[in-house]
Amino acid sequence: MRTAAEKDVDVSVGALIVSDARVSSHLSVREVAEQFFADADLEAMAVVDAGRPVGLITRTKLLFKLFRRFGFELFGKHQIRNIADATPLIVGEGERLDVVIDRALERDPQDIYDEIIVTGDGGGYRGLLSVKHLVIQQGNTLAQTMLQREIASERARELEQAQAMRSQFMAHVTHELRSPVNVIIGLSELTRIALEKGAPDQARDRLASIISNATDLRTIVTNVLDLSKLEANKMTVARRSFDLAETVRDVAEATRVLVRAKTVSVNVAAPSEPVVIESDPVKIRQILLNLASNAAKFTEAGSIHFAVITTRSSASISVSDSGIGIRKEHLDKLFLAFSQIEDAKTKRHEGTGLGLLIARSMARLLGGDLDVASTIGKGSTFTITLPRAAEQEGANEKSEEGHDHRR
Amino acid sequence: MTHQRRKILVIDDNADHLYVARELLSQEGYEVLTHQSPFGVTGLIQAAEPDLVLMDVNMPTLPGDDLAAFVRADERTRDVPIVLYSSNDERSLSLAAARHRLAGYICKGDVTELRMKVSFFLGDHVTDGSTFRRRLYAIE
Repeated sequence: MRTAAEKDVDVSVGALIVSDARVSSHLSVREVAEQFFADADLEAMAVVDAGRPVGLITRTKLLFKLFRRFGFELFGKHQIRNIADATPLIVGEGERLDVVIDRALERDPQDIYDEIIVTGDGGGYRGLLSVKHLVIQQGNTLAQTMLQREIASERARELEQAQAMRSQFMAHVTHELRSPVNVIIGLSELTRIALEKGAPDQARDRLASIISNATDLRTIVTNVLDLSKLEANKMTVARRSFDLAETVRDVAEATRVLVRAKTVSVNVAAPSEPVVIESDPVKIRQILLNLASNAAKFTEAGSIHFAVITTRSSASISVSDSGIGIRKEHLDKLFLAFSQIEDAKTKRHEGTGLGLLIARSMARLLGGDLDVASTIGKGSTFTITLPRAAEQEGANEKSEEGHDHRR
Repeated sequence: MTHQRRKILVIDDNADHLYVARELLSQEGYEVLTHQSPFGVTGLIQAAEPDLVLMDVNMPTLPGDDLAAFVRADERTRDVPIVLYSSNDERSLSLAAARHRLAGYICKGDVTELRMKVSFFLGDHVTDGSTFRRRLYAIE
């Protein structure tokens, strides 16, 4: 349908012939009249002499001639060529639809009738066109063109939006990478000044800040690299069997360190026997640490609760906190790069805003998913679901060596 | 040094950036005030009467370029020169500074540029003003 419409934009009329009715120029008017009487749908015929059109006879014109007074007597025995229109509109089959319509409508009003004769390359008769049909066809073509234009501009809008998001993303990445670098440069200069002044304590403090900013920078760089690997389908998966419950207990331990300055309890609900799954333990740990550090960041008091639930084919880990919660309208934006709910120019909390996007992409890479439920003021629950065993033909599966030739 | 303890107000949401700016500019002999929020700035400017304001751009809730436009729209604070001081792209900073008719911009991370430009914006012409000005406002 769509490809036909694309070609119809400059369609030639040869394809729109509606009839190839013809009559020899030597037939009598009466004989031609018999043909019209015999076929009620026959509206017109080309008058053809040696394969070439020499005129056009229409039902209207024939009947008009015959049924006036003495018509039959006057014209019945004449050759049809004598009453046919000897100068009909004749067009080549390669002519364009819009050109032919223009020519049809330019004729003198008394010569305007519905049929146009079409000839082939050598001038041989090919068939008849109906102007009415042509106009309908052109209308359809226009409508399709407009639809295509609509589709095209919609696509252009989408591309523009994607482009805008990409450049916004780049602006964010640039700022997030530069900001700690700039602090490090400033602190290094200050350290140099402190050493010149002979103030080693001050130099030591400044070095500690340099290390802390460099560590932040490393996190950002790692995130940006992870994200580009995920987006380019270059992230590799290293699967092995391991105890998921143990990984969760490890992450919970790390979380206790993160919240040690607050009155937040961290607890784990997991089966006492090992929950063995076949997946990538490093990536699952990374996902869980991301969720745990978010929970720690946004929870001032209360609890952070880890739960492991298994079925025969899947395992899910949920991380629930009693923190500030997330507005309903913000839940969708959580997994977008650099959205951080507010505009990044006005971002409130530390972090690149890439963590959750990476976590979800990784969960999906492992054949699972990451979802969130939240109540504002009460807390949030992030849940990872994972298949317990690697699917042989999974869409996102990769070999352990990462030999992936898709892109 | 020709500055008579000129006063600079630095606004940034990041404590490390504020610390670096305060220490570096104090080294140059300026009196440096820091403020770790985009809020309360107009009041602070009226109270402290700084000779120059260095304004971060990416801040919670209120971006620095909008805040600068807001400060300039208030007749009580419109005369203090405001310079954007940020880790954003130089081009975006120069455009934002031009759009809001600010005194200019300084890219974070270049200590020499910070010293030179602050000195320039305070009117201590360290070099030929015309060429330096052309460099400051260069928008290709």
